[in-house]
Amino acid sequence: MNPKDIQKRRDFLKSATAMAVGGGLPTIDALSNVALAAGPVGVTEVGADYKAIVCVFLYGGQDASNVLIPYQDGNATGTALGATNLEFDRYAHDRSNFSTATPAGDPPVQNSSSGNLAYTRAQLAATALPETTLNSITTTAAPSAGGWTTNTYGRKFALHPNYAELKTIYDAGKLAVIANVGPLIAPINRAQWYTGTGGARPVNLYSHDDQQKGWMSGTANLANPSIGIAGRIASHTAISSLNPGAKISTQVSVDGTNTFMLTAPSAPVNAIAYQVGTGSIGRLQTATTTPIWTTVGTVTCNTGSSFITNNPASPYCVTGGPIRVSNGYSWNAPMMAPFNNRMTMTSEATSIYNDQWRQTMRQSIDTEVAISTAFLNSPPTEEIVAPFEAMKASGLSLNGGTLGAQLRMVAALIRASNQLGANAATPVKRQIFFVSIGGFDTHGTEFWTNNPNNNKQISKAISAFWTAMGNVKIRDAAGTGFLPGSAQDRVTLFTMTEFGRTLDSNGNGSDHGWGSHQIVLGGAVKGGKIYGQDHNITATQAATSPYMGLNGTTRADLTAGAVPRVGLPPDRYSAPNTAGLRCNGLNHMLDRGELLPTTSSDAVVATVAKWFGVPPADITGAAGVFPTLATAHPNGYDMGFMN
Amino acid sequence: MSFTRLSHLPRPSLPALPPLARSIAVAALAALPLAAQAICPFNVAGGVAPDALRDGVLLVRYAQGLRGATLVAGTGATAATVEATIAANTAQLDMNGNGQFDIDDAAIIARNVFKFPSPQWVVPGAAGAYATRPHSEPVKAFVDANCVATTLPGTTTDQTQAARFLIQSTFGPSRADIASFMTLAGANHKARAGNWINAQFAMPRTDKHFQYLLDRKAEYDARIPPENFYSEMTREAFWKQALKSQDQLRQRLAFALSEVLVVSSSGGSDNPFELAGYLDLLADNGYGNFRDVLYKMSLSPAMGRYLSHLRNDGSSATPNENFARELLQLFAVGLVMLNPDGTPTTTPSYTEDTVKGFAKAFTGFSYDDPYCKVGDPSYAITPSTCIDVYGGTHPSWNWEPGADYLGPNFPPVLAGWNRSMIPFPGRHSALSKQLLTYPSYAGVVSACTSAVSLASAGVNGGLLPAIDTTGSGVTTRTKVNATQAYATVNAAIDNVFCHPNVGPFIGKHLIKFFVTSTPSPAYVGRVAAVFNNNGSGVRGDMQAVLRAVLLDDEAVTPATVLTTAPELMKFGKLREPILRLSSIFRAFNATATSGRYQLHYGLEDVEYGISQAPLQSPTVFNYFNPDFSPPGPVAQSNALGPEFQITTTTAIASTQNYFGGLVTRGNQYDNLAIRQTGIGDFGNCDISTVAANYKPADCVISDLSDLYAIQADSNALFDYLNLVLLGGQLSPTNKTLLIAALDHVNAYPPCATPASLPACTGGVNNANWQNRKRERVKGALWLAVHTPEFQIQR
Repeated sequence: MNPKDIQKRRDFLKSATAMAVGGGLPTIDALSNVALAAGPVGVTEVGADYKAIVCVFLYGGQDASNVLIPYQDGNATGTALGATNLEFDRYAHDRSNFSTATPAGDPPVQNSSSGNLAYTRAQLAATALPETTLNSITTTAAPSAGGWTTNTYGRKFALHPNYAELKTIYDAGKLAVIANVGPLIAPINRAQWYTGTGGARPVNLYSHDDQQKGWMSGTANLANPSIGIAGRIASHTAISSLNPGAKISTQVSVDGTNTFMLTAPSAPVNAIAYQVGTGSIGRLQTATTTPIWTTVGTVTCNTGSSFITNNPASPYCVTGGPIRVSNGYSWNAPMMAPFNNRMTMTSEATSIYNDQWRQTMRQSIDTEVAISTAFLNSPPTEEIVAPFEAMKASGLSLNGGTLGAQLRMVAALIRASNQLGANAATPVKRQIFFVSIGGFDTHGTEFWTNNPNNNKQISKAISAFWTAMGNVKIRDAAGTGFLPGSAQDRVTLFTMTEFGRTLDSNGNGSDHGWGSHQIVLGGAVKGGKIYGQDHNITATQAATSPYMGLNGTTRADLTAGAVPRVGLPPDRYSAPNTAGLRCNGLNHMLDRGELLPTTSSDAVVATVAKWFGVPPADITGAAGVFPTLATAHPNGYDMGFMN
Repeated sequence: MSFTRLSHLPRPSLPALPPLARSIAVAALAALPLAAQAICPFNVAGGVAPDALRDGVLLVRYAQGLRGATLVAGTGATAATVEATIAANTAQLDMNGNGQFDIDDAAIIARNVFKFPSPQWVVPGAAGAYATRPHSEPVKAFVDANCVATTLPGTTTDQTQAARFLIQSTFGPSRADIASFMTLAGANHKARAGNWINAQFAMPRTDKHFQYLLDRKAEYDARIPPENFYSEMTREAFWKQALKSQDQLRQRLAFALSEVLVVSSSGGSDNPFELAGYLDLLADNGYGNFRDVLYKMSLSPAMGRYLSHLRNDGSSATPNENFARELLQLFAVGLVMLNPDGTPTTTPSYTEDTVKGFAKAFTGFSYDDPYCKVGDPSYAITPSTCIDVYGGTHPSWNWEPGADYLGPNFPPVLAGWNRSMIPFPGRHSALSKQLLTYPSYAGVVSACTSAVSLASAGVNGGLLPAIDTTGSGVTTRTKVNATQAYATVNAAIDNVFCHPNVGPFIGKHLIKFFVTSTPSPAYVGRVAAVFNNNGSGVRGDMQAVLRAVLLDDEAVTPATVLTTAPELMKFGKLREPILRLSSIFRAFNATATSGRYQLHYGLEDVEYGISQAPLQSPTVFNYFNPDFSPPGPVAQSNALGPEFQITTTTAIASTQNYFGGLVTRGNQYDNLAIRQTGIGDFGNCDISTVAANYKPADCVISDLSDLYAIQADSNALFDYLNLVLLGGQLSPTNKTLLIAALDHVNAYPPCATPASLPACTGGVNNANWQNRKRERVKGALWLAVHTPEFQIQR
């Protein structure tokens, strides 16, 4: 539909409403006419078969040690909680700059640039998660057969103190924590690391760029991967066939190009990623102002939101939210013609760069028109915008590329999905989104600025997104009513970061590591749990057990007083804090407190991909969506956190 | 200002016109012969000979609206003849070029025929409304040309070649740059290009970025109250030289190097002085030897801070590997061994042990405090003690120019940002260092003999021995002195510089930045061979490498080398947004009279800017990956398109909006003269973005007078734009489309004749003739910058 038709429809809507009001009580006829004019849109909904994946990338390397923090000790039986907090003390000690005394209780509050990177127990009280216990550890049954749910044996962990909102969702059973995860080609443990033995390793560990690509490509064994996980998912026939002729790509990045969404040259058109801004759709302006050199200033849209170069008198001035879909310019047909006519998908047989540029421009124009049309038909209003606006009360900005602004655009586009299919009968059924937040590379004194603030943004922005999704309904297949639930049930969001960081303080902040802790959120997520393999799992166990290593050996450890460490060091059973011996008792921790991942990052995304609709047969294997997953987890990848 | 208001402007007053009575009186004293420019149709009376008094008076009277008997009273002329002659020659009598013959023109002619010196023909500021020849000088040029408006000659093949070449090698050509190129000696284009390069190499570096900042800082400090010195200043210095400096090739090379050896204000290097010093380093050394570039880069405090080998402590068991890794991976060698033509092998170039070895090599360096060495009594620092009155010791491992206890405003310390880092005794690792291992190769130049020997597997295996401190025989770090630290760094840089990958690696980078994204292996091989040996046994001669890059047949005449259509279609590249922007400014000689080029803010913005700003790469991997291949035609052709990585579906629209907005808007200091001459017609000081403390002189304004002069001729207009902005790549068919668009009855067709003032028929705005001129120029510019040919250089 071109914008002119929208104008007509809106005019009709306006006049129909006026008529109804002018005539006193609205008549059934008038209301029907309005509904007819508006078409089957105007409500906030996704289609019956809709599913979306949202990837939140934390650029710089999340300081995972402060994401999931030992809060309270358990004992080996899991039937009674320990009275001491030695694990927390170890955390606090290792995160200090070693100028503090032997751990004995809480360290002083050190939210300064003193190099102490720990939060206090008092700060963690509000975000402490409930412990999980086994009824009996003498059973030979695995604690969570079929999945990788972690049993904490009575130990308590706390989320980052600024994750209050995320904890609420965790408590509601919709958010899971994935412990100690990272790019992995084959299982590896501490001994193998230090002796250079074991299987293949990801290329260029500790390098930002390469580990970002490792997470995003599913091929951490390749130096410069040209295809990403999302690109493979979106290109898969099972997914691309669900969005035939869609007006928007299955893949939408609100953060520019990225490896995650790269596609093979043979990818279907609807898989080639579209990139959108946080506040606008990237509409091309044309030289048709009157007169041509008129200076355009900042004007105020009639909602009170300020839109640069927006024209308040324009029908394209969107009411209800600060998402700019147009600038109010009209297109001058003669001037546009030579430009528009050349922006085609056909080669001009002169230059591949010329063709590439023209095709990118064509995609930009077409998708913008489609999105604008959808937004104009049914502007993203309070149900999407209000939850994000609420973030401002916490002093968080929604400007520019902030995570809140990015997720707001994602929410608006999810909500528009039902109108972005080829036609009304074929709504967009699958979408993958990419957003990001930077500033996690906290080597220095910026640690105590960035660590609290970034994580606060994560919690509040994701929570706002979650609330917005709760306001979006699910249309039933017949198109006559709604299914129970909300879009929350159809969206799975997970975080990624290139690597975790050292547990140890370097005197100011923390340095590059490998494994980290991530979250998965969604109505289809079996949340309220921590997932991951035993931190202390041996290479043999990892090779024989898909989930937490409760085989004979581990049980022996348990009876001897050790507990499965679920990727959450430090604990009091590790070796003493003697130089050279630190962490020696831990199978997956290096000398500076870097984690060796026990779970492949691919296993997390693969579990979600299976839910998304990628056939299980095509998940693993060299030609699968996750080419190295089988070597990392030879006994199965499904972590079991998806319904 | 809107059209409506313009069209209702009162008729111009006549401040410059001498009183009619007086001019007649003067003229009556003597009947002067007409001035030399007899070919101009001033002889309106149609007499046997032109008569200054008679014809001058007639023209003035006619312009005042007198006709018939009143017009010719006392002159002896025939009214019908005079009126017909003037009406037939209004274009040639239109001295000020405002589209009609009027009283302003008559006044100018009167001064002419009464032999006023030509500088007095036009009273300053009073040429009349809508004048396109607003000063005496252009009017004299017009008269000298027999009162026929000049037209530009058509574009020649050689000019197109020149434009292509200057797009590859500069920040963008103007018509004058192309004309100047054409005057160079040389039998053909390639010979001229060679001479142009020689002339560029011979140009001294006149301005330094660092000095620019010092000057600005002094100026800001002197203001009352002192003005805050801001961190964007390096970008100001960058734009000044990129847009205005004559040594364009040097500037382009420095910009390219800044995208290989990346430092960025988005990251560690956020001090304007250190970035300015770094840009100077690249510009000063770019024409030298690549080995020196590598060495100086590695000791630059900007790089030291950005990749954190500044104060990298050799006493640590695991020194920081940041710089070591990128030096190998991104700056010189790459991850895998390359063939001599740059094609990759599967053999890794180095291991993690190599990275650790280089990490140890680059330990023990920190800032050089200049005032410790020379002393500065005015600041109570004596060189003998390096202790100042405040008790601070200079230099010290922890001293830094930006955080001196005397504050960053302490003037002497600023120079510390611009000096190479120095080694500190006892901070450099004494341990052995595993450097790169590579086999000896054919044609090792003498400068690399020992480096290749060190690297060779059969000899030393790349292992730089532990530093054996004199006397004790022990290898404790505390004994390592500065000389030994320098020796390590030199060995490490030689080890990198002599690696066989460097030629194809850096050669390919430069080809991609200057000429084409997907060079043929043979092209890379030819450039690499010149890097390896310039013909005189010198490796890394950057001047020779630049010549090889820019004068290769694949760059100059690609069709002769790339003989199949698919190969030829891979030639060229998407111009970086910065280079497209600079080309718009440079094509029209955009100038800020203050010398400040404040293109600071928002350029990098994805939604409102062009997604790129100088020295603001988001990471050390540059704005885009040199091996990026965008899904679509480029990837399908197995080709590369690095710049497409930042050309997202959002950015592609916003970048066009930025360019389109720039060329179509006016500027804050808009006035009639600007509008009608085109001088200053667009600039960066749009009223909506202008800051409160913005100075008019800071406005970077363009000169579109060339375009205004030819605007009536759509063909000439697009020929001009095609040449300077599109490198002559617009096909005749597509040019026809642009002409049809501009001339469309619902767009901006030319007004048929100046006589149709004030209204002209057709067009979207019912403009008068003068405003239509401007619409046509701006419309043509908009159309030109929205062509694929503007984005893609070929």
